[in-house]
Amino acid sequence: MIFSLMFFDVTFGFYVAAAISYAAYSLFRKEWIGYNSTLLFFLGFLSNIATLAARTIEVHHAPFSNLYESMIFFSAIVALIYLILEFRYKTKMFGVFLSVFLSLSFFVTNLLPFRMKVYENLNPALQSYWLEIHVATMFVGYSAFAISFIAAVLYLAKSEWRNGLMLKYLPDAPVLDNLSYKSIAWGMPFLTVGIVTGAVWANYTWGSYWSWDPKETWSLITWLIYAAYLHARITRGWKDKKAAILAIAGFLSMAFLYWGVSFVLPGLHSYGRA
Amino acid sequence: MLLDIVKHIVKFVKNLFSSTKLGIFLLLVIVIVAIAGTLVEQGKPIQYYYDLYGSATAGWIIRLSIDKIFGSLWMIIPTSLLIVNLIYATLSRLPVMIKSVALPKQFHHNSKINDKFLIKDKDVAIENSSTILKSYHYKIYTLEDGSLFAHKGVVSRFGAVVVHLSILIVLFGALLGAIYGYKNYIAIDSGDTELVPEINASIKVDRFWMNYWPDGSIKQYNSKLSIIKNDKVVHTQTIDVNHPMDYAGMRFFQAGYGKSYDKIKEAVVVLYDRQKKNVIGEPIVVQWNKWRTIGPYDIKIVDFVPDFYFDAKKGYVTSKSLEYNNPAVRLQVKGPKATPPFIWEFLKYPGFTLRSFTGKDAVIVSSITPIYYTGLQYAKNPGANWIWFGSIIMVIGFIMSFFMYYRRIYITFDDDEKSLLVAGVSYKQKDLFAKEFKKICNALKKVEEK
Repeated sequence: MIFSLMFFDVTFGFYVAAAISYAAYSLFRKEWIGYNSTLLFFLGFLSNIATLAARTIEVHHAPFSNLYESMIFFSAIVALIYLILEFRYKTKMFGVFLSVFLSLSFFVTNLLPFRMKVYENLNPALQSYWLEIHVATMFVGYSAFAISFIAAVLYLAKSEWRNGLMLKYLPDAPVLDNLSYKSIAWGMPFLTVGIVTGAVWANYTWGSYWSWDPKETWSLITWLIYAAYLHARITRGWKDKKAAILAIAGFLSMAFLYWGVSFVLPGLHSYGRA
Repeated sequence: MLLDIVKHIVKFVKNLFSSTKLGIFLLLVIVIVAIAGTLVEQGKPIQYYYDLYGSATAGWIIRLSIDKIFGSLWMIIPTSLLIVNLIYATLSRLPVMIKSVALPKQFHHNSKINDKFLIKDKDVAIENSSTILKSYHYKIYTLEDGSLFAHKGVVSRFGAVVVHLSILIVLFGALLGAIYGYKNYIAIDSGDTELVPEINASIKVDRFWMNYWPDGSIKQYNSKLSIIKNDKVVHTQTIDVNHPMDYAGMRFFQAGYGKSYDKIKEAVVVLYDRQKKNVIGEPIVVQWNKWRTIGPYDIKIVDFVPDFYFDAKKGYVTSKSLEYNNPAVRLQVKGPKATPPFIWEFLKYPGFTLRSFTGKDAVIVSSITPIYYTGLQYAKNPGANWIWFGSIIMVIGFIMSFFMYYRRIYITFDDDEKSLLVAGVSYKQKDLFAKEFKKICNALKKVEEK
C-alpha cells in the first residue's frame, strides 16, 4: 500500500509542476520552458503508470475496482492521449489545461476517505474477466470525452473572445472543433463497447442485461447526448456552438455517471461506497 | 383547395420526419425522461412516495407514472417517434448517398484541392498514375471524357446507415425480450429438491457453501445443483456468482442465500438436573427429524421458527419475521410419566421451559446449526442474442463512419496533352485527405522526373 500511495503523491507533484511550467511557457514562449514542461508532464505520466503498477502488485487484481483506483487509471489514459496529441499536433498549448485538469483529478481523488484507498477484496460479482474488459473500455471512452470536453470549452472560449487572455496562442477554432469531434469519434465506440460488455456481464451474473439501474441509465444518457452531438454536427446552423455545448453536456453527464451515481444515487454499481 | 392543404400537411410531416433536428430533439427528450427516472426511485410501493414527497406531489408521481417511467408513455412515445424519424431520415438520404459514390461524367474542374505538372508521354503517365493510386488502394475507372477517376472508402458513406440499422436490431432484441422474456426466483434449502415447472424438472441443491478471503470477507457463493427428471439425475453442475447454469433454454443464476426459516440442520442438546441445577453428562447432537436418546428421554426435532410468535386468538405458533430474532425449536419428547409430548425450546432463553418438565431432569437446547438456502434466479432472454448482434454491427458502423472516409481523385490532361491535371475531393477528414493528396502528387511527379 505504501508504494502506490507514495507514487500517487509524486504523480500529483509532477502534474502540478507541469501545470505551472506550461503556464510559464504560455506566458514567456521560451523553447526551454516548453521542453521542461513536456518533460515534467512525461515524468508525471511515468509516475502515474508506476502508481498503477504498484497498486496492481499490492491488490492482486486489475487496478480499477473502485473509484480511487479507477481515477488513477483514468488519469493515465488522459495523460497518454495528451502526449500523443502534443506529438502529433506539435503544439503545447493544451498542456496547461490538461495538467490543471489532471492535477484537479488527483486532488479530488486524494479527498476520498482513507477507507476507499486501502486494499479491498473483490466481491463475488466483480470476480470476472468482464471486469477488466468492461471497465477498461469504459475508461478509454471517459478519457476521450475528457479531451473532447477541454477542446470544446477552448473552442467556445476562442470563438467567443477570439484573442483575449492567452487564447491567441491556442490553435484556431476549427482545429479545436476538429479535435473535439475526433475525441468523441474515439470515445463513442468505446462507450458503446463499454455499455454492451456491461450488459453482457450483467446478463451473465444477474440474469438481466438491462435493469435501469442508475449507472446503466446514466451511461445511456451520456450515449444519447453524444448521439445528439454527432447529429448536431451535420446539421446546418448547429455545427458550431450548439454542437460544442452538447460536447460539454456529454462530458458533464459522463462525470455524473462516473462520480455522481456512486455517491448520490443508489444501485447495483455503488461499489465505490462499500 | 382541400387537396392543397393535405399536400401541405403531407409535405410538412415528411420534412419533419426526415429532419435531423427532430432526431436531436427526441434524443434530448429521452435524455430528460431518463434523468427523471434516476432522480425519482423506480418501482417502489406507493407509500414510499407519500412518505418522501408528501401527498400532493406523490399523487402526481403516481398519476403520471413517473414511478414506472421507463415502461411508460413518457419513454415509449419519444422512442417510437425516434424510430420513425430514424427509418424515414435514413431511407430518404440513401439515394443521395448512393449517388455520391457513383461514377462522375467528367473531370472535376473546380475542386479546391488540385495540382498540375508537366509530363513526357500521356500513356506512360496514365500507367504510372494507375500504379500509384493502386498502391494507395484506390479503385480506378476511366470516365467518358477519357480522364482517370479513382475513389476509396465507399463503405464509409454508409456508416451512418449501418449504425441506424444496428439500433433497430438492438431495439428489436429489446422488444423480443420484453414480450417473450421470462424471469423467476426460487429459494431451495440445502439438501432439498423443488419442482421447477418451467423446465419440467426438479432441482436438488446438493450443497450450498461460501468461500472466504483471508480477512473473512466473502469471496464466493457456490451451489451444487442436480437436475432431476423422472427420479433420475440428468445433469449436475456447480454454479457461482459469475458462472450460471444453462438448462432447457433457461439460465440459472446464483442470486442469493440465507438461513432457512422453517428447518435447521441439527441442534446440540444437554440434560439438566433440576435439583442440583447443573448439566449432567455430555451434550448430544440431534439431527432434524431423527430420534435420539438423552437420559430418560427420547427426543426429535419436529419444527423450527426463526422469530417465535404465539397467536393467542388462533392458538398456534408462527414466525413474526424471517430473521433469526427469537429462534425456537420444537421437540417431540417421549419419557417417564407426565413428560410433555411437545415442547418449544428458545435459543435466546435457555431454561425458559424447565418448568414443563416435572421429573428430576430437563432437556435444554443449547445451540442450533442452521440450514442455508440458496436463492436461484432463472431467466430466459430470447432477445439477448439480437442485442449482442446489433451491438457488433453498431461498432462496425462507427468504425466505418469515424475511421474511414470517402475520397475521390480525378486525373486528366491539358488540351495539348503536355501536362497532367489532378483534382481531389473528400467530404470528411479534409486535413487527412490534403496530406494524402500531396503524397500522391509527389509520387506522380517523382516518377515523371525519372
